[in-house]
Amino acid sequence: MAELNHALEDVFRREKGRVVGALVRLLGNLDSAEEAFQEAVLAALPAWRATGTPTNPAAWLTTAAKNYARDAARHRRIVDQKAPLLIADEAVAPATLATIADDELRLIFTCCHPVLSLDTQVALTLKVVAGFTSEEIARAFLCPEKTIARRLTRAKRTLEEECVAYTVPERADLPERLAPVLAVVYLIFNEGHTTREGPLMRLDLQAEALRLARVLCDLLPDEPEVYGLYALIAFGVARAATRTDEHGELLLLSEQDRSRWDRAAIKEGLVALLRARRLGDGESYLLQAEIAACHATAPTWEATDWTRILRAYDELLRVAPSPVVAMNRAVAVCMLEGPGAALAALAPLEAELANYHLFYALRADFRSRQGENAQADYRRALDLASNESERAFLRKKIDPAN
Amino acid sequence: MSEFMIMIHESEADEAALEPAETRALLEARAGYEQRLRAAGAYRDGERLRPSGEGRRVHRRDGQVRVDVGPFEEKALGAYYVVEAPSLDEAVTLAQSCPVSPGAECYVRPVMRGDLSADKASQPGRVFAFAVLGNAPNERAWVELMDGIQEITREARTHGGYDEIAGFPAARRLGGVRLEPPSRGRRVVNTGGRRAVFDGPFLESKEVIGGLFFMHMISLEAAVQWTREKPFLQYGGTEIRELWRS
Repeated sequence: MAELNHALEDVFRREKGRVVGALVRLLGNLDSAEEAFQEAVLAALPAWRATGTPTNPAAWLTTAAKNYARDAARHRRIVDQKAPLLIADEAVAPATLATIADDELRLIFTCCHPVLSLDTQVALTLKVVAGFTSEEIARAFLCPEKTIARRLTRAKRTLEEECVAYTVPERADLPERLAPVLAVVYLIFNEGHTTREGPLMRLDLQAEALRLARVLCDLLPDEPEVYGLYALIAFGVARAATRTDEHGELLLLSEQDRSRWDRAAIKEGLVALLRARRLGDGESYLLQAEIAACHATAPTWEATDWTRILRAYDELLRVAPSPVVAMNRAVAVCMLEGPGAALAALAPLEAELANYHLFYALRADFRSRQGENAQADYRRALDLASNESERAFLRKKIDPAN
Repeated sequence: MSEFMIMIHESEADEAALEPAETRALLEARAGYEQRLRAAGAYRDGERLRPSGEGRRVHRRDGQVRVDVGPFEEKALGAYYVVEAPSLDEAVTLAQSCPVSPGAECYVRPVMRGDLSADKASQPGRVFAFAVLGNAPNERAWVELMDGIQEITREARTHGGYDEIAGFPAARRLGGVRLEPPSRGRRVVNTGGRRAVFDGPFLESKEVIGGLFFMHMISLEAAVQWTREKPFLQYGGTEIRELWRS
C-alpha cells in the first residue's frame, strides 16, 4: 500500500504543472486552480486504488478538477447571484496540444515573474509547478514551514495585485523573461548540489531541476540556453553520487571515482549540448555546459582538456563577467601554467570575494602546491563556510589528524 | 533516384559500456556524418531514438491487448536516416560509412512511399516514433495495412484519437514512411573492422519493422492509449519510442 501511495504521489507530482496550468487558464487564478487540483487528487486516490492508474492521468485529473470547480462555482452562484460563473463551458475551447504545452509554460513564466523576489520565485515554482508541499520546501531551504506558507500567500497576492498577465511573453521579450526562469531552475539544481547548510546534497531537488529543465526543452525546443542549462544540470546529476565518500565527506572532482559517474546522464548532457551548440553559440549556460562536458568526459583529472576549458572560461568572462567565473578560471590556469600563475590570476579578485569561502579554499590549495603555508587561508575558509561536509573537509586540511 | 531508410540497431548494453569520451567522439562523428550526407545532397531525414527502456510495445494476442515495457531485444533501433541514392548498392555504401557503436548493425530498406517532416525536433511537446512490427502474410497485405495506417494517422491531425476525453489535446502527425518488405533490403554488420553485407530477409530478427510514422503527443501514456485502439497490431504489434531532440 505504501508503495502504491508512493507511486501515486509520483504521478501527482509529475502531472501537477500540466493540470494546474490548464486549470489556471479556465479558472483565472492560482489559488482556485490549486484547490481544484487538490480535490481531484483526493478523488483520484480511492478511484485509482480500485481500478488502477488511468492510462492518461493528466486528463483524468483535469476532468475531475474541472467538475469540482464547476460545482463549486455553481454553488457560489446560488449563494451570491452577483458572482460571475467563472468556468468556461467545455464546448467553448477544446484544449489542443499547443494550449496544453502553453498552459504549463505560462504557469512557469508566471511563477518566475520579475515582480517576485528570486527566493519567492523558487518557492512558488517548487510548489505550483513541481508539486512540492510547503513542508518539503521548508525542509529544503531550512526555514520554518510558516515562513514558506506566508511567502507563498504573499506571492499569489502580489501576482494578483500587480495584475500579472497569465501569458507567455512575446518572442521579443523572451530573452529577458527567460533569463529569470532559467535562473530559478539553476538555483533549484544548485540548492540540491550544495545546500547552504546541512547535508551536502538534496538529490530530489536535483532530480526536479533536471525534470524542469527537460520540460522547458519540450516547451521551448529552439532556445539554445534552455538546452545549455539542461546539459549543465545533466552533467552535474551524473556526478552527484560520487561527490562524497562513504562517510558523507566531500570529495574533490580530482578525487572522485569516475567509473561510478552515471553514463546515461552524461550521454543525455552530450546530446543536449550538441543541440544547444547547433541552435546558437557563445552563451552563458552553453559555455558552462561545455566546461562541464570536458570534465564529464575526461578519463582523469590530469588528462582533462584544460586548454579547451580555459578557452571556454575566457569566452564566459566576455559574455557574463563575474568574479566567481574568474576564480574558477584560475583552476585551469593552475593546471596549464602552474600555481604561481594561478595565484596571480586570483590576486585581483580578493576584494570582491572576501566573504566567499571557496576563494580562500582555492587560494590555500594553490599556496600549498606552491610550497607556501596555507593554514591562514584554510582557517578563513572554515570561518566562512556553512555546509557541514565542506566544513569537515576544511577542518581536515587544517589538521590532517582531525 | 530512390529513397532508402538506414536503420541503425544498436546493442544498448555495449553502448552503455563506452567511456564517456568514446560516447562524445561517437556523437560528434555522427554529427559529422550527417553533415556529409547533407553536403552530398543525399540527406532526407534522420532522427535518434531515446533508449528502448523508456519505450513500449503494444501487442494484440487472442483479442487481448498487452503493453510491454522495454528493453525488448538485445539490439534496439537507435537511429535512422532516410537517404536518397541511385541504387540499393549505393545506399549500402552510405550505410557502411556511418559511424556506429560496437555491436551495432544497420538495415538498409527501400522506402515504398513516405512523407517526411524535417522539423520534428523543433515541435513543442513530445514526438514519438511508432514502429509497426510484424510479418504480414504477403506483400499486398502489408501495403493494405500501411495504407490504412496512412489514413488513420492523417485523420489524427484533426481528431487526435482523443474524442472520448473532452478537453484533451489533439495529436498531430509528423510524417511517416512505409518500407519495402525486408527481402528487398540489406543488412550491414561489423565484423572485426570489416563491414559484411547480407541480403534480406533476415530470419534471425524476430520483429521486422514494416514502417515508421511519427506523432506529436503530450505523453507516452497518451501514445500507448491511442495505439491500443488502432489496427496497427494486426500482424504483430507496434513499438513506441520517443525521439531524442538532437
